[in-house]
Amino acid sequence: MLDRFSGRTPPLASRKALLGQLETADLEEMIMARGPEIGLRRFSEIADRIEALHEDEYAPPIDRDEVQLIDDLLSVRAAPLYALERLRDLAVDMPDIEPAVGRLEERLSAMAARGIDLDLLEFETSYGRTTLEYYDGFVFGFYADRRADLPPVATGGRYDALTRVLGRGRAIPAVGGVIRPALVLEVSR
Amino acid sequence: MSLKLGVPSKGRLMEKTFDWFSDRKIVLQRTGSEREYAGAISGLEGAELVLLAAGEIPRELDAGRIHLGVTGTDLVREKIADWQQSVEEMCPMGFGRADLVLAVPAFWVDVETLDDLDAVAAAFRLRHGFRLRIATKYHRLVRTFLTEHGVADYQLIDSQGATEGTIKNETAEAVADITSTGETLRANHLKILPDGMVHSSQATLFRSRRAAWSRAQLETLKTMGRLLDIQV
Repeated sequence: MLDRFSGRTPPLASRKALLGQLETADLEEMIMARGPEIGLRRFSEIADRIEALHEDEYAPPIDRDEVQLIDDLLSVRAAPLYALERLRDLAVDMPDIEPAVGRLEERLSAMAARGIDLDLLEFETSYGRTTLEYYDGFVFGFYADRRADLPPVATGGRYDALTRVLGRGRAIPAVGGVIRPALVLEVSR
Repeated sequence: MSLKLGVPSKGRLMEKTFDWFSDRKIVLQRTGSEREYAGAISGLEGAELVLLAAGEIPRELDAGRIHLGVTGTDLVREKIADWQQSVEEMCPMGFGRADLVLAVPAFWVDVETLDDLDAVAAAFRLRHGFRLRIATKYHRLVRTFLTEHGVADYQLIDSQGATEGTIKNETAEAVADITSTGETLRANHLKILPDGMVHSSQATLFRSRRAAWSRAQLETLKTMGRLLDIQV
């Protein structure tokens, strides 16, 4: 999506064709020609989306330097203290991430204070972005040494937004995780 | 103990499987009455035929109760978690073809790609307060496919039959269903997303990695490999 909105990939041919057609054709007629209105998603929702596509079409692309910064941010993967260093560097050009970098720093010192050896951990900015659906804060995974072929033995993290949605306005801080018993057995053999 | 080969116990899939093997000098036969599901193999020493419902074959392979089995690649991927750990594809057989595709109402002129579907799913959730529903029987295959292609904000609705009708009945907004020609989908005013091919399946001979393989059984497998002209 970032590639599309920054102009790094060309716009979809099918979308260009659709918007081109609509310059002369009537949307309602075009829809009727394709088939009847079935299902819960109605005609008006399609019209709204077409409107949004038009807006996207005329919006200027996201600045290249900004996209580069986002890419750099998402590719940070290193021992926690090195990662923190790298994130501080990035924060010079991206002041928006400063509070999050500050929280990471506090979290790392809290972990160190509890006797956790930070050198044994790896920090990855994009960890869990595609697999840990409803988690929206700090997330973690435990892997078995020497068994890189296995999925993580345990994963979890913060999911504060979930309680906010379920609570319809009321929210509580939430943290949780899962331990996979079959994997625990397999790696402890 | 003989090598156990599991094949579908009835219908076209069974006939095609029997034909495929007999073309390669291995003759499979049903024995006993229609209901008995007993079978015999001639042309291959040390092998035993086990007739099973096609849908049960992945489970039997996974449990290691049969050494080899004929079933669709779609069923193996759907029914066995981490299927590559349990079974190995030995040979595609060229029949029983079926495509698992994603389809949406034909009048959705704004949806031509998975990228569109993702955008529409997000908008749908905002408007309706729940995630866009995709009706399917193939939960594992569809979920993996959509995750790989970055589609979020959807939910799967279980549908064991007449899946095409769920949109009209307003129990789903999109479907992921098996089709060979797309005829039924079109008749129900649906269109297939061009990049929405979830999985292209065909009948395939599988080998179980979970079964215990004795020396004699491995010998039988080698002989069979020579007859079938495949690497074992």
